[in-house]
Amino acid sequence: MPDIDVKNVSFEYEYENKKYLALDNVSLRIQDGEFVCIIGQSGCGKSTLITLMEGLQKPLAGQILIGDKNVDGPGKDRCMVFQHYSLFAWLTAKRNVIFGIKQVYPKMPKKDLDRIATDYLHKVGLEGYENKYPRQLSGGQQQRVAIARSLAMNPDILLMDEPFGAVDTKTRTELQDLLLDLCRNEEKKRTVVFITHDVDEALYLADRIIFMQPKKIRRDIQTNFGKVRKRDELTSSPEYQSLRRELIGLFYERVRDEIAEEGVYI
Amino acid sequence: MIGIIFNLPNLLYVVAVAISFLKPDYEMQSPIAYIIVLTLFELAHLRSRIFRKDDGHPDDMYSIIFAIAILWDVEAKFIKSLHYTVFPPPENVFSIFTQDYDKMIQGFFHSIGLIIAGVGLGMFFGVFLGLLIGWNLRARQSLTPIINVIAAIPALVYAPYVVAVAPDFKSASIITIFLGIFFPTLMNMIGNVAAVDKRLIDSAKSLNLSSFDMIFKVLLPDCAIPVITSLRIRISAAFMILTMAETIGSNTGLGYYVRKWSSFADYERVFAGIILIAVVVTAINSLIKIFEGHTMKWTTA
Ligand SMILES: Nc1ncnc2c1ncn2[C@@H]1O[C@H](COP(=O)(O)OP(=O)(O)OP(=O)(O)O)[C@@H](O)[C@H]1O
Ligand SMILES: [Mg+2]
Repeated sequence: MPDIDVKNVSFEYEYENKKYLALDNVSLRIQDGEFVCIIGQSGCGKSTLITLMEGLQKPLAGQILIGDKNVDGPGKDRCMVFQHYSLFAWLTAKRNVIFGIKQVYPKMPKKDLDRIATDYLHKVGLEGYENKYPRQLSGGQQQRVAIARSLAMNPDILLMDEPFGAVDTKTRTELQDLLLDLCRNEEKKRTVVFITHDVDEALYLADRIIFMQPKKIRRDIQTNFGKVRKRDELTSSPEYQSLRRELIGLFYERVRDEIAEEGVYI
Repeated sequence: MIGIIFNLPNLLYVVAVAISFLKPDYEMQSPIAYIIVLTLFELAHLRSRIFRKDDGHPDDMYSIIFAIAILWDVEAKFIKSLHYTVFPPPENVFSIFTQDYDKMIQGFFHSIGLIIAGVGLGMFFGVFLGLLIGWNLRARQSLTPIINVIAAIPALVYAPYVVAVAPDFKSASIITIFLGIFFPTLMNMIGNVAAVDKRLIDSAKSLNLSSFDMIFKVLLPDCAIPVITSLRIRISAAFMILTMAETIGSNTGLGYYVRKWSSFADYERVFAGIILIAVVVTAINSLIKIFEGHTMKWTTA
């Protein structure tokens, strides 16, 4: 399976004839099968970077390669879970999942579609919600349907933009473990790019953490915690603690820099 | 129990029926048809009282209906600020239905066929082309200004021309209704597609939809609500266009009926025709509402 290669990518938003440079010459190579978390303060360009990888927007300069193919649009090898809810309001939870699966396996018989969709909805804890419309679901539940849909589509590369942002702590823990399970323990290894604000989430999930500052990548950290993780053991280990301090330090450093730039005194 | 019998709408109903028996100083038709209509309203009122499922204030509504009937009757029979031939009493108007029902039924089927054909074709092509044009940025930007101008021309303006040029009245009416429905629908549809939430489009794109699926499985359902809502306005508009067309070049139809009798100054029939059209349009609207409820479960759920 191929790597994702982001090469000297810049991106600009244009609105009301003004331009805003959101990414400035970003380079990043993500290995096949790697679980990469991108963290960084709000507005630093995380979503922008991941939509470029998905192919929903084109870089202003530079290029993104998957294997040796240039990304110029969404592809069957990738699947994205958006920061916002992205279900079809006119389809029930199950039909939303089925709709996704059908795009990848157009010839799959109805019975299998039904079984797989139900299966994944159960995995994300939505038993009994299969026939509800998105309107009837809470934000976190809708997000879980979207997660079930992308997992059921069984892509090589999963792009996830703050997927667990609107989910309570308990469900979040469960979903994290489910995701790790599906990405590590199944025969098929997946590459995951996962955006989060939460340092602990990043440390628990990632093989590698990319810390972004506005427009740029600030740090690229390999976690080396190994593939199989026990949450309690991990969080109490000294390596975890020191990495955690470092990341939180990076967050605060940014805040201090900004305050200094704007000439505010505390 | 007592509340079901002693209330304002019931009182007004009794008064209205009583007044319908009073004779004015001119020859009047039998009040039977009028009383039947009043009684139908009364039954509807009793039903709302007993089952109490109507929301809103059905009592107020029925009181107002009966009050209007009483005022109409009293004005036409006794106050007579307008001559009774110009402003006929409800007894005479409703008795027309018992005399002219065959012509009315014939007119109804004639008109409704043309309306269904014209509105159906207009909506179909308007929605279909609207989706395609709306989805293609270049087509949208270059065609929108032109379509807006054409859609702004009221169909009534070119109806006489189409009637004069078309081979027969049937095709003339269908063409006029079609044009009058097609362009506004097309214009709205392009706008609807342009206004579809970008986030929805992004998430659909990320599922790798084919253009066909994108247009018919995402854009179409997402725009379905405004389309179905607009159907009601379109049908009223179609009736307007048809009435206009019928007055120029037809010898049957609901609009023709009203027009013909107003040129003969038979205002009883004019009133009856207007009431009939109102009933037909309302009935169609209720059908659309039922249809809406069935297909749009997900919006209200
Ligand atoms: N459509 C847009 N038009 C103009 N500017 C935009 C647009 N989308 C994002 N931006 C700007 O680009 C920058 C990066 O946005 P982006 O959405 O990538 O941030 P983010 O890191 O995902 O933030 P968050 O953690 O809050 O989701 C922000 O400063 C934002 O204001
Ligand atoms: Mg974001």
